[in-house]
Parts: sequence; C-alpha cells; structure tokens
Amino acid sequence: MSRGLSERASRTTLTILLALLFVSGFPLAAFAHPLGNFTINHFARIEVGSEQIKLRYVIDMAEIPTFQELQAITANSDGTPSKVELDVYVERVAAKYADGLLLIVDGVRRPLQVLAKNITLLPGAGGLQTMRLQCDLVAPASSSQAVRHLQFEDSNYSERIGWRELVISPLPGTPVFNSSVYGSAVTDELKSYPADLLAAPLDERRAELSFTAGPIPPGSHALRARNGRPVGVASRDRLAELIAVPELTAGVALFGLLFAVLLGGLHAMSPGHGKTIVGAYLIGSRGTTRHAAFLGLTVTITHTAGVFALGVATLLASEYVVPERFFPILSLVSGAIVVGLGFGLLIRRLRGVLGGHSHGHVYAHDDHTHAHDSQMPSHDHDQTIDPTMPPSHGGRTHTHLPPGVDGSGVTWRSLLALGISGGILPCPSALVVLLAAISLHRVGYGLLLVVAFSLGLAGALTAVGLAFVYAGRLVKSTGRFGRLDRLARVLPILSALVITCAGAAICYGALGQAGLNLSSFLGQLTAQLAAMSVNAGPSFPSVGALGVLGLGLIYGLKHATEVDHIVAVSAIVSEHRKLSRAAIVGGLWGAGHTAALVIVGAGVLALRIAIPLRVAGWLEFGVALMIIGLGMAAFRRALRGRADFHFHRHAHRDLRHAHVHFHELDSQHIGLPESHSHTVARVGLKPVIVGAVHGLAGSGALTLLVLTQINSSLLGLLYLGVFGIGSIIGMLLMSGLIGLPFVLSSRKLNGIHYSLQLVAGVLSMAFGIWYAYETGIASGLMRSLTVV
Amino acid sequence: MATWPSAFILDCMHLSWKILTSAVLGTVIMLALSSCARRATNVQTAAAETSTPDVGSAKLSKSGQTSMVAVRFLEDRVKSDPDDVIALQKLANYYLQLHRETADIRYLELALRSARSSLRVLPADQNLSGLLVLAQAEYQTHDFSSARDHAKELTEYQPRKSYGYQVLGDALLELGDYEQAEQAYRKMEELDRGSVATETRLAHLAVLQGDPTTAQRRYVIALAQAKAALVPSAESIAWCHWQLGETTFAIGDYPAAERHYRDALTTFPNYFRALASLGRIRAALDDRAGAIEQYEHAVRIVPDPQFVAMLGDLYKLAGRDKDAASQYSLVEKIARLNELNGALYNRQVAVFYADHDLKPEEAYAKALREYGVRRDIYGADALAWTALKSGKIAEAQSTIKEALRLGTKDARLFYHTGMIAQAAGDNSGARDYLKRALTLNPQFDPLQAPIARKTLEQ
Repeated sequence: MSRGLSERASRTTLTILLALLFVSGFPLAAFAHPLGNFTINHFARIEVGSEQIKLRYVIDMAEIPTFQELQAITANSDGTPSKVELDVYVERVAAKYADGLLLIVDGVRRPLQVLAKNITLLPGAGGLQTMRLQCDLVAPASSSQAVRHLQFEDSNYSERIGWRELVISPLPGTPVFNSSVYGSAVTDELKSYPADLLAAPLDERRAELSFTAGPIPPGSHALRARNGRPVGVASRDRLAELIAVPELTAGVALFGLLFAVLLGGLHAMSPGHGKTIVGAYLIGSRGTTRHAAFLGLTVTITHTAGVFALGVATLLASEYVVPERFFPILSLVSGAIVVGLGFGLLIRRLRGVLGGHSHGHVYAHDDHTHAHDSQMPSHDHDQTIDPTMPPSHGGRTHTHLPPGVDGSGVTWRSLLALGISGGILPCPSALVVLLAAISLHRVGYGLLLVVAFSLGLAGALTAVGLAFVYAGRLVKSTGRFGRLDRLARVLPILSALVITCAGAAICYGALGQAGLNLSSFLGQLTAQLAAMSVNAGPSFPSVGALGVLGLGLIYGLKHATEVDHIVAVSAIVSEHRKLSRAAIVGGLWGAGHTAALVIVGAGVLALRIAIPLRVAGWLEFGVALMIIGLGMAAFRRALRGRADFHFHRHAHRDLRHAHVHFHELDSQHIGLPESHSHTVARVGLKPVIVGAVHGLAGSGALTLLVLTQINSSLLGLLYLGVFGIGSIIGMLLMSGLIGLPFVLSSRKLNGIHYSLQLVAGVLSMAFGIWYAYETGIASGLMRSLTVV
Repeated sequence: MATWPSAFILDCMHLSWKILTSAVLGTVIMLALSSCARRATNVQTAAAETSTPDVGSAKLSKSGQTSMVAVRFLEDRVKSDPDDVIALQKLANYYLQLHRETADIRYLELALRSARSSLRVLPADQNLSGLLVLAQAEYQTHDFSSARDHAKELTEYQPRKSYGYQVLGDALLELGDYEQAEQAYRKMEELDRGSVATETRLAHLAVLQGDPTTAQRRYVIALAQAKAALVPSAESIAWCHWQLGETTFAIGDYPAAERHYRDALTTFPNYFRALASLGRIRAALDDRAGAIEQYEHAVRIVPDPQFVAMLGDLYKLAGRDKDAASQYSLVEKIARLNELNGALYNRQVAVFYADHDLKPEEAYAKALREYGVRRDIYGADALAWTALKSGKIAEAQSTIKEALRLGTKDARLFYHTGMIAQAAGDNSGARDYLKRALTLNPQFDPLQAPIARKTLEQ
C-alpha cells in the first residue's frame, strides 16, 4: 500500500479510473461500459467436433481502446470511420486475431481460417463508441486416433486488462473430458457482464482438453459447467442442491446446536479422555459429587487452553502460508490423523468389547459361532459380583487403572493430575471442531466455539461422574449396573465411528480443495497406462503385451473397488458372520463377473462388435434394481433378526448360563435349547449371479473398450483372463474388508451387528434407487424408450 | 462407469460435512452476534492484529505476483458464505494488490465492496482489519477525506498500532495537511521503525521537503526490506526501484535513474510505471525513437492520460502531427469519461491543457474547483499554472508560493514559478527560477524544458 504515496508520480492512473464506483449515481451510467473504459474483453467458444474445430471469437472494446483504434484507421480526425474503412479494418484485424489464436490438435498447430466476421459500433459513454468484433473461425481436425487432445491459447492483446472468457462446447457425439476450462458461459458472448458478484474478472487465456468420438475413457472427468455440474446431463445434483442449504435458517442453526451438543457428549468418551473416564469410574466407586464436579472443571480448563493454543498457532500460520495451500494440507494431515485415530480406536474398542471382556467360555457348543456376551443384563454366572470392583469387567479386574483405584481413596491432587492429563491433549473431536472453523475462515469464532464446546464437555464428564456416583449406589442395592456399563461401551465405539467418518470427510474435502479429484486422478493414471499399452498393443510379443496384461490386472483390481460393486457385495456380505465366508462371497462375485466378461469378450473378439450402448444402459439399470433388491433383503433380514432376538437360559452340563439368541430367516428352534445352533446364511449362487449381471452390464465397457483396441485375439483373451483374476482378487480383499465389521460385531454385539446390517441394507437400497434414477432416467434411457 | 457414482458418494459426504460444520458455526455466529458480542470483540481484535496487512500482505505466488488461485479460493468462500468476514478482508487486500499490479479499476471497486461487506457483517469496532482495508481502498480511489476519517477512527481504536497512522498520514498528505501528516508518520516511525511502509512514507515526505538525499537513503532501506520480506512481492520491490529512479531523475542523474527503472522491469516485467519513466529517460537522453517505443508499450498496457499526453508530445517533436493530435484528443476523451463517471479529481487534465495552451478558462476552473477541497502543493501548482495561462497573473503569483512552501526541489515547480515571474515582469526572479529548474533537471520534460531554456535565453 505504500505506493499510495506515489500518488503524485503515478497520479494519473487512479484518478482517471476511480470513478466507476460512483457510476450508479449518474443517469448516464447506463451507457458506461460495464468493465471500465480501458478494457479489451475476450470471449472464445470452442466447438469441438471430431472432423473440425470451430471457434466463435468475440472482442469487445470499451470506449478508450475503441477510440484509439478508430483514430488509427480514420482519415478525418473526428474518429468517425467510413464503411470502407471499417471493412478494411475488420479484414485486417480478423486475420491478425486468427494469427494470435494458437490451436493445437494432437500436437499439431492447426491454422484457423476466418469464415465470417462482423464489426459493430455501439454507443458508449461520453458520446464515445464501443466496438464489438465477432469472428467465426474453423480449423480441420480429423484424425484416426480414438482419444484426441486439444490445446488453445489466446494471445491477442495479452498485455491489456480485460475480461477473458473461454467456453467449450462439444458437438453431439464428441464428448469432451479432462478439460481445463468450463462448458458454460458467463457473459453471453460479452453481451452482459455480471455486476453483483464479488469476483475478480475472468482471466481464461488457455484451454487444454481431450475429446473422443467414442465413449469417454474411465476415470476421466467429464466437462463441467461453472456451477460444477457435468455439462449435458440435466438435474443430476438435485439431492446435493437439497442438502446445500444456502442460508442458515433457525432450523439449521438449531440442528447445528444439537450437533455440537452431541459432539461434546461423544467427545467425553473419546481417546484423550480415557483416563478421565476411569476417573469417573473412580469417583463412581469411591468419590463424591464434589469430586465429579472438580474433575469436570479441570478437564474443561486444560482442554480449552490446549485447543486455544492450537487455534492461535493456526491463526499465526495462516498469515504466512498461502491459504489455498495451507488449508488442504492442514485438513489432509489432520484428516488422515483423525481417520487413523478413529479407525484404530474403532478396532481396539470393538476388539476390547468383543474379546477383552469375554469370559473364557470354553464350553463346547455344537457349532456355536457366537460367543457369550458379558454385558447382557441377565448374565447370571455363578460368580458373585464384587460391588467394589469396576463392575463392567465381569470376573476380571482392570490392570490399567491409574493410581488411586487400588483402594487408596480419591485425593484431590490425583484428581487434578487426572483432569489435566485428560484434558491437555487436543483430541480428534476438538480438532474436528477447530478444522471446521478454519475451513470456514472463522478461526475467531472457532475458538469461541471451543469454549462452548469445552463447557459442554465439562457437563458431560461431570454427568458421567455423577452417574457413576449414583449408579454405584444403585448397583450396590439392585445390581443393575449392566445397562449403564453397556452404554459406556457402545458410546466409545460410536464416537470412534463418528471420528473416522469425520476424518474421511476432511480428507476428501482437502483433496478437493487441493484441486485433486481422487477419481479423476485414478482416471488419468489409468488413461495414461491405457494410452501406453494400447499404442504398444499391435506388436504383441513385445513389451507392449506385458503392458496390456499389467493394465488388465490393475483394471481388475480397481474395477472391484467401484462403488456399485462394493454396495452390492456388502449387502450380501452383511449376511455372513465369518471372515472367510465374506471373502468367499467376494471371490464368487468375481468369478461370476469374470465368466460373464469372458463370454461377452470372446464374442467381441470373434465378431469385432461391442455391446451396444443402449443394451449396456439397460443392464446398468438392472444392476441398480438388483442392488435395491439386495438392500431390501438385508434390511428385512436385519429387522426379522431383531424380532427374533431373545435370550436363552439354559444349561450346558452343570453350568447354567444365558445368552443372546437370534434366528435367521429360515431357522427354527430345533429340539432342546441345549442343542441349538445358529444357522448361517449359506454362501451360494447369489454372489455368482450378482457378479455375472455386473459383468454383463456396462461396467465391462471399459474392458471391452481396451479389448477392441487390441489387435491380437490371443492377447485379448489373455487380457480378459488377467482382468478377471484382478477383479477376483480385488473383490476378495474388498469383501473381506467390508465383512470385517459385520464379522467382528456378530461375534459379540448383536445390537451393533443388526444396526450394521440395517445400515448396509438401507444404504444399498438408497444407492440402488439413486443409481436406477441415474442410469434409467437421468441418462435419458427411459426417454429414448418413449421416443422409440 | 462407476467412477462418478463414487464421486457422488464422496460429494455427499463432503456436503454433509460442510453442512454440519456450517451449522455449528452458524450457531456460534448467532450467539456471537447477540449475547456473546464481548467475547467476539476480543477474538476479532486478536484476528485484526495478526492479520495486519502491509506491503505484500496479500499472499503471493512463487513468481511474486498475486496468485489468482488464492483469490478464486476466497471468492468461493464468500460465495458459499457471504458473511465470512475474514475471507472478505483478505479478498479486499488481494484486490488492492491486484489493482496496484494491473491498474485495473475493477479491482478497486471489488476491494471497496468486499471491505464494506465485511464491515456490514461485523461492525468496525469489532472489525479493525475491515476498517483498515476500507480506508486503504478509499485512499486508492482518491476519496481522501473518507480515508482520513476512517484512518482516524482506526487510530482511536488502536493507538498503539502503526497501520492506522500510516493511512492517516497518506490521506492527510494528499489533502495538503502536511504538519498533521508528518505527525502521523512520526508516530508510525515510533511504532514500526525500519519497515518498508514506514521508510517509503518518510522518503516521500523527504522528497516533498526538498531533501532527496534522505529520500534516497530511505528508499534504499525500504528496497532492502522489501527484498528480505518473508514473502517478497515483486510489485513492492519494483515499486521501490521505480521510486529510486524517480528521485534520481528529479536531480538529473539520468543514467542512474535508467538503471533503477531497468531493475524495476527485471523484477516485474511490463511494469507500466517503469516503462513510462524509462521512456522519459530515453527522451531526456535524446533518444526519441526509444522514448516513443517505451511510451507506446506503456499505453498499450494502460492508456493513462499522462502517458498518452507524453506520447503525443513525442510524436509532435518527431513531426508526426496527426498521431500527436489523436493522442491529445484521446486525453480529452479520457477526461470527459472521468467527469461522466464522477471522478473526484481531474487536475492532470487541467495541467495538460495549460501545458499545451488549450482551453485556458476550463483548465483554470478545474484546478480552482479541486484546490477548494484539496490543498496540497501540486494542487496549488496546477492552479497557479492554469491561472497564468488564463491571464490571472496576480493569482498565479500568490498561489505558486503555496506550491513552494515545503521547499520541494522539483524542476517543474521551479519552471512554473519562473514563467509566472516572467509574466509578472520580475525578470531576475524568472531567470533565477528557470536556472534552478534547468540546473536541477535539465531535461525535465521534452516539451517544457526547451521552452524554459528559450525563455531564459531571452
């Protein structure tokens, strides 16, 4: 700003220009050029066709440059050009503009030929004129290549300030992808400039894009409009629009409040506070109400201080680091940490709940896949519960309690230490809050939020402490501790889940901000690989063949992780309670998928035809319906399982015990409870069929795309085989992974298992419906039906 | 095919995440704006302190020029949340920086709008960063009295921070209140000694007070500071080089001035101020073709009326009368547009008329009107010069004394004084001042310096 001082030396510039601000007050302002009287504004629409590239090029000159130009071409000095003078001028500049436009298609510069040109003089401010030059240009661009590349650069008037807008407009049958510029315009060819927006003028000088006459390669990102929606597909993000509430209404604010309360409550259960929870136990067993309050207070103060310190550091850092660099990196790093923490916690807590606290229940049940749940209220072992023991652990005592639990009583000092150690660590939940604040550029408010948040935390902790104080008394009298205890176990798992999800969301957001779209990144990678191997394809015995096969494997692996596959498989997997079975489901899916692909692929190779897009579209739609069906099945099963959820009390040999019991759809109590067995859904034909349908559907299109590019049939078949193996392996791994929570949860926590199954069912139904909408309606499949 | 379904799921996650966070923050805003306002004040003040904009406060890309990525990033933030105060403040700073780099008027408007929006969300007493950037934007649009008032308000809120005094001094200086301006600058020096901002301001003061040696020393310090900045700004460095060139040119050391201008252009290619000044040096060194080339380049980037007028002069000297005439008429068109657009000050047009013996009464009226509201020495100079051209010798004599009151060593001021003295019949005074002008800077202007020389010979 110091050059404000230079006013005298540079006095002219500013004085002249400043006035635009006051334009609104003047009646003549309507005639003033919207972008300042000095600008030369550019617009180019690139029409991409496979045979030729057309260009609509518009130059809009404001009053001053128009005056300068007209002065130069006019014989008389009043600046009014004759018709002839204008014609000569437009002839000359159109050629000059064509020279200044660089168009490179597939690495070759294509000369642009002027088809039509037009010059219009319009009245501007102060009796001056503005000038609008419009040129239509064309360049040949035919080629035998499948995937084409286009670069464009506008170097006309490159030094002069002005609006510079580029728009891509693909011709029908020539989809454009991986474009560096957008597919929608702002100014209607420089006829109306945005006035109200707080936005710096567009400065789009260069464009780079790919196009093809066939289907868009997988993983590439389609041409987008300026609002982020893909061009050419209408109303696809209605859901997103619904969610993205533009304004903060009271309802939303209230929702936010509730969310904050929830977060604070969960926060009390999150990792940094493990010891504090123990402290609460401690108070519960021996402490008083005042102890509980004190503990809550200590944690709150230390916690607030810790998070504040972090926030101030962030504030300072944000002053020295470019924000758009800083935020994604910070978000990504902390997102990753949060995911890691959350996931680790989830596993540990699940394992802790599942394995750590189970009794060594060695009694031989016939084919029992479930184990006993120590937290069932009706659990009635022969052991007596020692009321002074932390009661949740059945027959075992804690080995990780802090000092003070061993019967020495609660001291204020140990409580203080406990509170500080519990609070000082900025834990993931606090990080989440802080990041949210930073990401919205409200660091100040974020700190404020942390204060409120910590107060909520104090409340929760104190409440836990108090609950234990009173529950302890209750337990002593009635022995009904189990419920609370169970709550205390489920809450941490829930919080771990929330943390994991939040972390994933942060990571994704950070990647998005960094301009890195995961799917497009993968897509580019594979597209490059494809380009490499396809080029090398014809010479089969060379390294190119290996490349093709390697690509097949990678495609197969990647293919297995596509969302519709995962959703379908997870719905099936959720039925199973064994890791091996879950993995087998995936493998079978892969086998079905491969079989279908090999059959179709062999046909393609033999007859040199691919599945018509229409047919593939219908198959996709079928997949969507199938996913809905699978989801409904899982959902129904979960509900039915819930309904049949009950306890058994029975005796094995001389030991009486009770455990949770549930039925699958087709199971009945057979004989005596002692010999009961829990049937497990069979691994059967279902995944094979699902996989086959998937293989038939358009998901195989990418395989076939590569296939038609491969000249050797043998190589093609090999490719298919390798692709199939890749997808089997990938799905084996994925389904194992997906199955893990179901398996883990089914071991002990039936409630969780059913909710997971329920969630899987609901999710796959929702996804299926959305997918059906996309493939059936949004893509125009249904419309084409009615037209035909 | 399933690539963008996955993108959809991720988008949904992303969206719901955004909603949750904004909902939480929305709650806090509501709280903050109602009952917890006190807390917010403190927090905001903290934010204001840490985000004090200064030279190069707008974040820069590697090349040292403002990164449009950052600007788009912030614009997106504001678009999704129009009440994002911090983003608005940062944006305003970026726009000001962009205006300095490109001279594009639109950025000034955007800066003003974002500064005002930020103040609408959070009032000035809780939003000192917003107030500061508003004052700066007003200064840049030459709304000096508003800038002064806002800067004064700022120093009342934060008397121990230099930036309020900085803008205050700048505005006062332009309004001709030199004593108050100097006080503000001294206060600024006391609070923030040795910074680029302080040194450049004291240097400018030294130039006005006729002490080019001190001015150059301070600009050298400022240049070193600008180069050593954590995130060096190419424009800031180029500006310091250019200022060194201007002070060197003013004392007639053309080769040294040219070196400074070329340094500026190395740091910041196509820096229009340096391009024009280089043209002036080429003209002073009698390289008319080179001068024309530089001015044509500068005018291609920004058709600044001063550049245009100078280009017209050079064409005229080269015998290209038609080209000269079209440049001169361009200057008039620009002036007319300015008036239509409601420009607050239009003094260089008045000086242009006077320099070329055109429309003397209109020029005088313009200068008089401006001097009524802005009583700086160059306003006085413009009034005296136009008064002379319109035959008001007595008024010219008394007014030019105002222009000389700081003891500024400027060949153009001396030249005007000498010409006025000559018209009033004070031949010794005329000779004295014309000699001083030509000794100080023999080629101060390609058109006016020969006139001074000719008058002296008579």
